[in-house]
Order: sequence, then C-alpha cells, then structure tokens
Amino acid sequence: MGKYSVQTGLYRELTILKDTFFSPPFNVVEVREDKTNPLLELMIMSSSPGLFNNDHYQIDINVKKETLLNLQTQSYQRIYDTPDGARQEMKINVEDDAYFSHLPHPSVPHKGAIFQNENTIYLTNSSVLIWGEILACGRKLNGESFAFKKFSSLTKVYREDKLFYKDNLYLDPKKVDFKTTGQYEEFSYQANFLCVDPFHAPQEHMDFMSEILSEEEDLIFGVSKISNEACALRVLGNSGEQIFKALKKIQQKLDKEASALRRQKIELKVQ
Amino acid sequence: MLLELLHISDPTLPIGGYSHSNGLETYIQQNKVKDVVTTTEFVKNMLLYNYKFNDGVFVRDAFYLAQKNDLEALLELDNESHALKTPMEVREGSLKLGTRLLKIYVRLHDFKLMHDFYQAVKEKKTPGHFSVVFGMITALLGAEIIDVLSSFYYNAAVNMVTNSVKMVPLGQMDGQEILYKLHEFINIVAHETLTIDEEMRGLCNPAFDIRCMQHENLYSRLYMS
Repeated sequence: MGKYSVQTGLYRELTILKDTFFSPPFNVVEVREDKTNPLLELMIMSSSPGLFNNDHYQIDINVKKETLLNLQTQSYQRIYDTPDGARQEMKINVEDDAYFSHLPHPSVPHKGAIFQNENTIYLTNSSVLIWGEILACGRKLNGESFAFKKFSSLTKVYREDKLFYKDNLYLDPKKVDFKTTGQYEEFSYQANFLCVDPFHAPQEHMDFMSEILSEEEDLIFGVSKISNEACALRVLGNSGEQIFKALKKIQQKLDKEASALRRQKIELKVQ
Repeated sequence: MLLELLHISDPTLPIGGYSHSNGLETYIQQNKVKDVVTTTEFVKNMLLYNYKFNDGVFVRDAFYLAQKNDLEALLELDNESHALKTPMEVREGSLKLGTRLLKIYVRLHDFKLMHDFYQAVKEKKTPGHFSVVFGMITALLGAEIIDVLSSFYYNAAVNMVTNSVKMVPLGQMDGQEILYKLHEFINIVAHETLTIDEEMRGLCNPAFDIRCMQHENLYSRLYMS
C-alpha cells in the first residue's frame, strides 16, 4: 500500500511543511521558488509509472488553520490493466482561514483498468478549496478509447460537517454509451473544477474561468454557481494537455490571489 | 389510487414543470436536437442516464423513507440531492417544483410527515427538492413504488416532448408518437431504478450538465433552465 500524508504549519506567517510521511512509491518535495511566498507549494513525486493490479494508495492532507497549500503532481496518473482493481483514497481537511488548491495531472485508465477513487474533503465556513480533476478516455492514440473496464471517482465535500458538494464520475463502458447525447458525445476528456471561496463572489471566478476557456478550441464548457460562496466548471475536450494547461492558469491565478491577500494581512499585522 | 397518481404527475399541475427544459433549449439552439430521431435520443438518454441515477433514485428512496416515517433521513436525502445538482438552473428549478408541490398537498392532506417536512423547508432547514417531495407524498398517499416511478418518468417525458414540439419544432403527431413509443422504455427504466448499482448513484452526465450550465448565458431563452 502506497501512502503519503502532509500537515502544514505556520512559521513567521509562512506556511511550512510541518509534518509528512510517505512510503514507496511516493516522495513529498517542496517546490516553492519564492521563499517569501506565504503559500507552500508541494509536489508529490512517484517512482512508479502508475497504478498496478491491487495497488492501494492512501493520502491524508491536513491544511492547518491560516495556512496556504498548493499540492501538485508530477505527471499523468496511469492506471494499467488491473483485473482485480486498484484504489485510491484521499482525505483532506482544510481548517479555518486555510487555503488548499490541487489540480492533479489527468488520469489515464489503460485497456482493462479497474480503478476506484474516493476523495473526502472537510471544510469550515472560512476555508478555501480549489479542486480540479481531469479524466482521459484512455490511450486514445493507441486505439484504447474507453477500453478500460471501470473508472470511478467519487468526490464529497463537507462544509462544517454537512455534505455540500458531491460528484460521482462513474464510467463503465458496458453500462453507459459514452458517445451518446448527454455523456461525452464527440469528446474524450472530461474535467471538473470546483472553487469554494467565501472571500470572493463566485461570479468573479466564473468570469475568469469563462474567459480562459473561451480562448480554447475543440472543447465545450459550462460554469455555474453552486452557492453564494462556490462555483463549478465542467469541461469536455479532446486534449488532456490543453485542458490541464487551461485549468492550471485558473488555479495559478487563484493561488497568486490567495498569496497576495495573505501578504496584505501580514503587513496589516506588522503595522 | 390511479386518480391520485394521474393528478400528481399531471404536466399541467400548476408547479411550473413546463417552464423548465433542463438543458434541452441549449441542445436545440445548438442544432443538436433537431428532429424526431435526435429528440427521441435526448429524451431516452435523459431518462436512462440522468433521471434513473439521480432524481429517480431520490424518488425511490424518499418513497421508502416516508413509508418508515423517517423525517431525519428524508432531510439528509434532500441535502444529498442538493449537493449533486451542480448546474444552478436545474437546482433552482427542482426547488421551485418541490416547494410548489408541497404547497398544493399541504392544503389537501394532513400527513404529519409531509407537514413537518414543509415546516423544515419554510425554516430553510432543508432545500425541498421535487424528487424527494414527489416520492414522499406518493408514499403517504399509499401508491405502489413502481407506479410512482413510472408516473414520475412519464411526467418528465411529457415535459421534454412538449418542449421539443414547441421548440424544435416537431409536429403534434410526431410528439405523440415519440411519447407513445416510450411507454415500454419508461416501464423498463422504472424497474431498473429499483435495483441500480448503488455505486452509480448520482451519476455525473457531463454533456447534459454543461448544456444546462450554458443555458444561463444563451442569447434568447424561453425556458428557465
């Protein structure tokens, strides 16, 4: 079983990696270039090319009060032919006035893959979550479009312990015709992006998301308000790289804003 | 009982079902739903992949929970339905229909569970989604689950077909033919709802969701979703 856990802390108003544990194939590395940036940027490195039969990953992220964390992945997550399946569970806790952003590289289930993923995220009324997920239909160029057996990714977001958002990406080519109206239609990649941010009106984020995605060709998207403090984006496209880059722009802008907001607060404290 | 179910699933019930297209208006404006074949595919896929794993499951579960008189679990179910509806217009449409349906039935019956649920909606303790309200009321009326699901899906199908006849546009006879030929299909979907793979509960329908979201920004709109 592969595991990693991350817990943030504060040192002189900067977010630091207070505690971490990882077992093969994982390694947790700090990649923050600007050492004055209050936002901690971590990358999960993996020595494995992907998930194999019976692999089970467990991930625990604790973003402590008033800390800011961006968690990055190193490369596409491949799920190989897994006759008995592979699993991943991710538990995330974002405390008061804390910020967490995570946009992993696309997941690519190969022919014969069976994968079950579950993300459970706990927020408070003052925590911020920026969360993305991109799923490929498989190795399209190898003729493996929807050739996996099953891909399921269930995301549940709780605010103050009450279920706030639930998304069930469940793809079983035997049960659902993906080419048909309402599903993937003429596309092969799906992405979801969620912003829960009590410090900005959702319309601000929605306008920026629309602006970024309107520049892209060969994809369709929609943005919508989930509540007065949250919005979501859904995308269908034909290039994982294109969607990843576009969503990265959005995530990086939000990261920068969170850092700038924290710098302002630090300056006010100093005065 | 037949008359009770005919009444509650009547598309002309003044709850506003006919003013929501749930993304169909976007499909029509984008010329993706344009004739009898594409309309039939839209309606079938909505029933098979969207309703069956989402609203249909909530009707079913609300029905069983109402039979057990379990208000707390009904409120939790209502919240789960809210958390799954990402497109704003679809979420708000479902709330409008649910609340209006409650308003009609609290005048007609004194079921304590329904009145307690309505009170929770008024106090904003629960959202009040259409599927949950429909399942709860039909259970309290004493209907059979399979008839409840069939009438729920029939109501949804009539709304989709009526909207298509107006917007595509299709001939009245074409609309009736689509609807009539759906009878066996609705029966199958209703039975399948009883035994769905629970892992598929709340299944995401990406292109349907995107068209519902895009509806918010259509240049001209006749429908609320």
